[in-house]
Amino acid sequence: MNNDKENQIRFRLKVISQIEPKEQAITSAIEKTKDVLAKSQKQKDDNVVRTSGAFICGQILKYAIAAVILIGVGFIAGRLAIPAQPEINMEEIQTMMDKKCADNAEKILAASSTLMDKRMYEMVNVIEAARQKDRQWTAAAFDKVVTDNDRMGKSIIALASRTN
Amino acid sequence: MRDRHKELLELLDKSGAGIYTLLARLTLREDVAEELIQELFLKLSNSRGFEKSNCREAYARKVAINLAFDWRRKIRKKLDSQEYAYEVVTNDGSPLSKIIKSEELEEMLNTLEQLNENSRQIIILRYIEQQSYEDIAEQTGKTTHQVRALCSKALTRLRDLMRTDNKNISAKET
Repeated sequence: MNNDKENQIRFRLKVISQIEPKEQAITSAIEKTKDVLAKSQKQKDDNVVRTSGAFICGQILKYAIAAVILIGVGFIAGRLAIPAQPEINMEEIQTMMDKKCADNAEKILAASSTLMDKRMYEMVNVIEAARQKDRQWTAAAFDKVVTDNDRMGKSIIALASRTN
Repeated sequence: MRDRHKELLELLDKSGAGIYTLLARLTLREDVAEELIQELFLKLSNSRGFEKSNCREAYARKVAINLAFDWRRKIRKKLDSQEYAYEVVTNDGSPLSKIIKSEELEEMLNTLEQLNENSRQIIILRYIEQQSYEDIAEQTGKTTHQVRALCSKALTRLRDLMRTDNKNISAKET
């Protein structure tokens, strides 16, 4: 029974092994397969060119996007890092400036009057010193005149006595 | 990539006829064999296994066998889902004996489909391709002794499967 079955299997397999397709069918199938392979190869070549082009464009685009993102992030970070600026009150600044100017003017005035006084005092002193010196010179000149007069009197007396 | 293309064309020139014949034997249809050989070579053009294999022809035959049985599985599912009885259609009004023979071959191939991949490959190479044990051993990377043992085991398994299938058919008929 087993042998019969096995023989049957062998027989059927042998029948299958004897199936021979027509020569024409074989040639046609091989030619068609060659065409399909050529088309596939062409498509692959095209894809390689397209893919490399797309790859380069993709890379550039990637870097451009990265640069834009970096700049944006930097800008935002910079903005956030600066402390918030107080609101400017122009009137207050004006008042402050006016007050400051007035104070400064007073100080300048005070300082200038002090300096003037000092200069005046110095000038008075110089004048006083000059006067003093002048008086001394005048006194000395009078003394000299008196002395000279005395001498002249004495000389005249001596001359007169001699001429007598 | 160009090298692979050239290699495939060489393989097609050298073994295309043999592979086509094998596909025709396993599908029992020339039109399907023609489609499958195209599919096979497209598959091989993108296959890493083909690039790595030591024996390219043997690899191509193995893939061809798998493709043929995948097709058989697919077509049977389609027929099952459409609730068709498994029948061989003959357009040319062949004699009854031819139809019976075709049915027997279909049955044989369907039983072969139930074997595991290795056993199926060895049975096909030995009994359908009529190759020697030595050649099969070289292609499958096994020793001759192992191939003989596998062949014998596969035949026993085929016998069991056929018996089970026949019992199932008889049970259905009663």
